[in-house]
Amino acid sequence: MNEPVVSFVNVNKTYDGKALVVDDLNLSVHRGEFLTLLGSSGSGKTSSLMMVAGFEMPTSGDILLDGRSITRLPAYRRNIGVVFQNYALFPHMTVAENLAFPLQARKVGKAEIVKKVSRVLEIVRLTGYEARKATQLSGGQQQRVALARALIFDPALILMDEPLGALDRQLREAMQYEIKHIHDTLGISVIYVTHDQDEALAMSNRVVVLEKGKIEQVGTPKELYETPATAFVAGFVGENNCMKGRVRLAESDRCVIAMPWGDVSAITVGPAGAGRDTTWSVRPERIEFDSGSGDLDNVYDGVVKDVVYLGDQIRIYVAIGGNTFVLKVTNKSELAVLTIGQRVKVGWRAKDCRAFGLPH
Amino acid sequence: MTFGHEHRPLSQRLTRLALWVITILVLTYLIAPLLVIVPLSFSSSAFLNYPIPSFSLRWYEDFFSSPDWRLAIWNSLLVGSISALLATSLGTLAALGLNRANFPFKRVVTAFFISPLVVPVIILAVGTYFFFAPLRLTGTYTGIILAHTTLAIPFVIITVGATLSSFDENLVRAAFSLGAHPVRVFFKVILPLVLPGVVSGAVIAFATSLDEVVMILFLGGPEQNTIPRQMFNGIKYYLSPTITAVATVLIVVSILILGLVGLLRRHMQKLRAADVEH
Repeated sequence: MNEPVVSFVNVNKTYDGKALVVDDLNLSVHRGEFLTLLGSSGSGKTSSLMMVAGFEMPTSGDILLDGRSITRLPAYRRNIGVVFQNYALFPHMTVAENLAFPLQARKVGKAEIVKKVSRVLEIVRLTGYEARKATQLSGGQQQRVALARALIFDPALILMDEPLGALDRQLREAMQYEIKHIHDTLGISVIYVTHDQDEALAMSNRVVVLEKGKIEQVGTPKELYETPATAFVAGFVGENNCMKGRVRLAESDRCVIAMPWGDVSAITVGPAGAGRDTTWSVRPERIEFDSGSGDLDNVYDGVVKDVVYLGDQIRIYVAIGGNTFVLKVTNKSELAVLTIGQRVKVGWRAKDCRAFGLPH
Repeated sequence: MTFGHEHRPLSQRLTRLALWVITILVLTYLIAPLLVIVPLSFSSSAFLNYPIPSFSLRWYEDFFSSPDWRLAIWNSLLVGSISALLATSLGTLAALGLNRANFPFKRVVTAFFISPLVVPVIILAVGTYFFFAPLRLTGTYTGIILAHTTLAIPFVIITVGATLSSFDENLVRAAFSLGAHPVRVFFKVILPLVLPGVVSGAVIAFATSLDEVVMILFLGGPEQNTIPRQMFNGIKYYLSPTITAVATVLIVVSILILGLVGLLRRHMQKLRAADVEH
């Protein structure tokens, strides 16, 4: 599983000769892996993908496919499937003609094409749609045709550039599952680009969080969520309470942060020595109401500011000193009695509280 | 507040009346010269005057049977179709190039390609004459065809450019990613999608050559007489009513060409509307 399909080696990309859109990227995508590049716009995720596809040239560095450099290979000789956000189906062709296009380019025989087209339509569950014009299909169907077209020529790798961005929420979730299922069944390698962290967590084997052209962290969805390596990842992946403070005491892997309303003990993640500023975080679902059992390392007095009812969950905004924290609690009847302005004792464990070095 | 038509103030009614009168006058001014020609072409008289003594098709017969006019028709079709073909190929390629991502001096290059449309034809014709003379291209089909191609290219660039402006560049990227060689991408993806623009460009290019008179006066020898040149000669030396028949045929051809371009435009809009729906 750890054999690399694609490797970025010291890849840089700039469009104007000044700002680096991709800044010294080193990354390997394993064979059979579903790897997501996650980042906001301008993070370099799409540029990185375009360089693998061959639509953009790295300014410097090298990109390897199966160990061979493809940096100078034109896109049409790379054998990489690409799925676009706007589907990019050929509007003057039928579904079958769209699917046959990559096979005709490879001089595959007619009978073989018919066979492959019907097999791939079966995979994306669109059997019987051969003769439809691409433009007559719904958004979800068009994206499945686009996926089928990228699969049909057995590419070494499939790239997806925000493929579900144009779909509504319900359809998007169904398609996430479908794409994941196809990936698992066919065992293909996928590089997936999205700005949607839920999508990244739900689908990926590994996620690469990019910011300003640099890798913030690479890890499994669980690693990113449970053990973010930087303040940016802590704030970007999943919901988090991020606060700024000053480190008062630093031990090997623990520290104590002085806040105006009390001391907070936390795990040291970044270089946050005593006397230095830090950003620290604690997840909303890890903050609890103190039952007096003594198993919470940090306990404070707070005031309920707001209660938002979400059905399965309840979000509670609690002010501690000058800071407002979000708590996420599963819906249990006893919490319904909380009223705004009520004084509460809340707290969390030191292991759930992470102190990072200042963001660069 | 709603008022019936009869309750409009007098000043407003006068304005409307003036608008109608002016509109009709302008339309008459534009169309009358054309309409005067058409009945004359069916006259049996050898003089261009009304009233028409009796109807006859003799001038049409003259147009389609006299050797001079037959040569002119043949020349017009030959020069028109070859220069339309050349202008369409070159103009389409130029439009594709100009549509690509920004390159240095893009505006200057675009202006340069469009310039034959802006520069007075007489200046182009004089310039072309002095350029072609030492190359022995004056008085040759090649020379006329090249000159007409130059005049027609801007029209092709504009019509194809208009279709390309709504063209999704991701289609080209998708085609590349699917393993298609650039030549295949051009013929299978780009060309079919910009075809309406290419065809209307070709039609307009042909029409440009068909009624072009200045270049042909400067560059053409007697061998290359086209229909407009032959008409010009007809007016200069002897006023034969044949030119009224020719004019009528040209009017009909122009209307057909306009209709064809209109149909293509409608087809294009329909395609675009289908794109927007999804």
